[in-house]
Amino acid sequence: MPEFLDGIKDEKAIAAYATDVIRPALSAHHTHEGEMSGSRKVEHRGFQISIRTSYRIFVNGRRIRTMLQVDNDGQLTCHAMPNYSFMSAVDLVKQLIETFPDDFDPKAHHPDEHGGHVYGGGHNHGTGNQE
Amino acid sequence: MSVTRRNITAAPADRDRFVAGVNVLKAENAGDGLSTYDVFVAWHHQAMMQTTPAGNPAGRNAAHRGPVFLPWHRYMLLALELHIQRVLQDSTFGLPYWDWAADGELLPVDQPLSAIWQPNCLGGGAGVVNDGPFAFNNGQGFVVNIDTSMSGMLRETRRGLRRALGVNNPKTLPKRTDVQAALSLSVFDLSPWDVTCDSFRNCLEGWRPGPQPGLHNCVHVWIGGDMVQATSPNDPVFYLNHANVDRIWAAWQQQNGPDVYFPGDNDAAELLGHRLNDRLVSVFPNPPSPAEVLDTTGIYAYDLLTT
Repeated sequence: MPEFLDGIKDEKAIAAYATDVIRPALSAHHTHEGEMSGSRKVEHRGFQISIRTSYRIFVNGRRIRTMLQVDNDGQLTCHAMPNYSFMSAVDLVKQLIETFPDDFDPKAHHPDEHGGHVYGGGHNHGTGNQE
Repeated sequence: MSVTRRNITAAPADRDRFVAGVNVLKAENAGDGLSTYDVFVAWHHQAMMQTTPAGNPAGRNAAHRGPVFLPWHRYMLLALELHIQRVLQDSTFGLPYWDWAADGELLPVDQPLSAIWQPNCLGGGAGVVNDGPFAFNNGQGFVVNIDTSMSGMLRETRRGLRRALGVNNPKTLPKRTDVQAALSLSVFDLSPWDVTCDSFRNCLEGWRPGPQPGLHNCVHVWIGGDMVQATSPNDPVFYLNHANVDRIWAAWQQQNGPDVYFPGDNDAAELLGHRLNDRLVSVFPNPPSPAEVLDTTGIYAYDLLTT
């Protein structure tokens, strides 16, 4: 049997991952704000083409924070919905609303550092949403 | 000992062992308020958030959008399979698969009613899962403990599993002809090694032929709810989908050779994490390379490779 299978059976690795990787990742959420820009770089006949696209997206007047990327063929992808690509930012935002109902709950928004309000960049204290 | 992976809707004993194993892993305390099952969920999220190499403009990450998609998930399935064997004390357990292309032959209106979504299998899916073995039961049943926010960052929660079967476009599962089209591609993967190339890997992952999500991506999107987040392993159907994806890869390997994998060791450093002998991102020590998971002889085999 391959040696790597023995590594999988290491139960201590699971506990270590919970403490050393997952817990810090859950805490990191408090400081993260999604990137709202895409950068494309391609070479054409010796010319280096670089295209940077930035987005400012608002829903009900509130800015949303998510991580977007524009592929070289112009398709938009979003880290939060990794199985999709979109031709339209409008379609992407519609799908965000469907996929993240908690984030668009009017009671769940949080002020940003400038005193404005954002969707998606806020905090979660683990109190959750009972259903 | 090699185990056999069977169709979940045709193997009730395997179905019941899968359900039981998932629920034991869900209840097993891994520390820090997380279960062993939750650690698998977070592992997938962390791999997805790790671009390989960092900042590559193609958006390749440690488990998706590039050649490593198939070997990384094969490794993850093996890890879950071994831990279900551990908690059930049953070394004969093999992960079942869901032959979603069979359901794709049904009328779209009938697909959410197929055998896999019945209470004796995974339960249904219009909003919060409230029947079957993964029902929320007001917090006394299957509880989602971690998911992501819209920003893509991991967060704690406490809610029921969510599905929206057949709601998102495309409103149908892939069909057998879609699988056959992927299997007809003899090139495993090729430059530019991303979501734009016409390769078997990219077609099976679901970025081609486009523009709608195809095969693997389509199944995630068709199920909806938790399956469209980076924490998609929250839904146990994630493993059944990927076992079928792995089965299709095994069928492709049977046609094209068990050792066919690209890119090789000498390809560009910008493909770090996706090359033949690069190490897979893992929870566990001594993770394998893609080369080490190409041949599963002696570990597991599928009962049927035809689709």
